[in-house]
Amino acid sequence: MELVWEPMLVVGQKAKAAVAAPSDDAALMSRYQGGDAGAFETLYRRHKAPLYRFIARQLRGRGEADEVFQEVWLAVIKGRERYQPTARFTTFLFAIAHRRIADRARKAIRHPQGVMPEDAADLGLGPLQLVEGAALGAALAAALAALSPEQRTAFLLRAEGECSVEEIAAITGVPFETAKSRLKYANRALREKLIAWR
Amino acid sequence: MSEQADTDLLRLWRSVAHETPGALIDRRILRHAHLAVRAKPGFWR
Repeated sequence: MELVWEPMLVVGQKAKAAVAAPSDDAALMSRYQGGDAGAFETLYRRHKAPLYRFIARQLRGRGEADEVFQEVWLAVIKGRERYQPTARFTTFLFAIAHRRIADRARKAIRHPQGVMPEDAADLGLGPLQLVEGAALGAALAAALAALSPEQRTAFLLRAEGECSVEEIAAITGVPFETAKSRLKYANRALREKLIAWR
Repeated sequence: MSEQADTDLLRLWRSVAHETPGALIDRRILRHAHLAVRAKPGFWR
């Protein structure tokens, strides 16, 4: 029997319709909880790319991003019974990723390994896969890399997770005003660095 | 103005950021997902 949940609460006025309707994600997760692996596959294919970019843009290189990305999905699989549709699935997913990235950052401070690359070209992520405008993509990536970690997280939660300010605050564990300010300054800094491209 | 500028920035980001995980990772995760529900404890055995 397929479980059907009540429509979920959408946090924040600006929580726009994401690529997928949140309630649809919750229903898929519910079906996976009931043993439907195909539902998980749909969820995975829908969210893998934004989640991957969210992770990759905050870590040192592709290898580390691959590891954390897998850890996050394995945590979703393992913790599937605990998922409750009280928040968007995306919020649930990106919150797990944020915690894993923060763990890595803490470990990196305790056990530094080499130089933290500031230039996007050194991130080892492979180039932004552009057919055209490669230089603009590189400039944007470099500008993102130059933000503070908190601002970068705020921007990526908005850009990749389509998170509202309320959701960014909840995921990062800061007050609403702090999240709003981080996002505002991140956007401003990125725009300023890209002003030459206008 | 600022809201429009933020929207333009997001649009720009989405037009240039395209990294995705590799196919091997896809297969590994989906395999785990399938095994996890297949390995669910059965009925009264």
